[in-house]
Amino acid sequence: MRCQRIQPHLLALVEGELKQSKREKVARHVAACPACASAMRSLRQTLRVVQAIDVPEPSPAFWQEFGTALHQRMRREEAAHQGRRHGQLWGLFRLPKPALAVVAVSLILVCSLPFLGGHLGQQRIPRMILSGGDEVSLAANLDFLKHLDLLEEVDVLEQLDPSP
Amino acid sequence: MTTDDAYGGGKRTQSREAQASPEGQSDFELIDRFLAGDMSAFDALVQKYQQDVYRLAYRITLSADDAKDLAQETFLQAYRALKGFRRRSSFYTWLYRIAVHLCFHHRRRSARVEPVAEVPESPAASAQPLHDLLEAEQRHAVATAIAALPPQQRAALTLRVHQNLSYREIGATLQCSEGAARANVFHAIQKLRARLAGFGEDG
Repeated sequence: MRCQRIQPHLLALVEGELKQSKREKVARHVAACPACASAMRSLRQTLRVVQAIDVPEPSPAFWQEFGTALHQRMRREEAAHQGRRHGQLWGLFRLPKPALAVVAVSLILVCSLPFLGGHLGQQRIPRMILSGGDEVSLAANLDFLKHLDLLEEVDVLEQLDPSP
Repeated sequence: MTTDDAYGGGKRTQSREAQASPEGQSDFELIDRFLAGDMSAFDALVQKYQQDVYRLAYRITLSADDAKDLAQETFLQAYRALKGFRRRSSFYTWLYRIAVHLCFHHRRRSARVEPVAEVPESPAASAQPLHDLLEAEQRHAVATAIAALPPQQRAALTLRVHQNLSYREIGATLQCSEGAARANVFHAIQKLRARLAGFGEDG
């Protein structure tokens, strides 16, 4: 195999990630090729020095302070979360004034529907029964009808009924 | 897949999930307890992963202060989102994904010149001052070369070399394919090899 085809596999060889058949071919080539053997040594050395670079160790107080600060932030987070849930209930009252007015009017209308409904219902019935000319006739004979009601109440209709 | 041969870190990738908390519980058991209202279970998760997350953030941002803030932010985000964690990956892959995302976001937002990493001093002066000097010089050169890598390659490299994640896990963490994760590590190492050609060839 040529060096160009071998070298991309050197990292996998160093990491032990090549399948056995491939590993044997690459290893055989590296053993016989000074350039690839040198590249392999260079790769190993690079990995070794990279691994040796460590993170500066924080002071002993660091982790204690880290945990304390994290807890404080988590408590604030929890409090804010509860506040948001509480705020959802009262959020209605933080609406802009026009929206709040619309909501208020809607609420008043909804609450007064039962009362309005009865009143409107009484007015609607004659409109459904009567049509055009009947309404005019009804208005003209309103006095008579009032008297008719009165007569019904005192139960004197029979007295007015002409006897045969 | 183990990374023992190259990095000598033991099979941390495979055994990390099984690493028990001080109370002897797996990550998923701790998550269940947390979701049932036990805050101490979340504390156990923080204890278990805080150093890993801090180190990961440090290696990407190259700043101790930023790493501390971002590690805290990572756990805070995890605290908020743990309820929605679907357990399609291991907990630490999910946690690292949050950390890497925050680090990249922080880097984009800060839009500043990359600082050179703070390189830890050697523990003590030895009887080989010349050797120590060369070693210090080498460490500085390596830190500078790593700092010059693109963030995606630097993150992939540290997830592979220092966190011992498999390429599949690196892909899941960086939200790219396994092949892209492999390519990122490969290119990072190639660049480092080129920049560090003068050091340690006696290997």
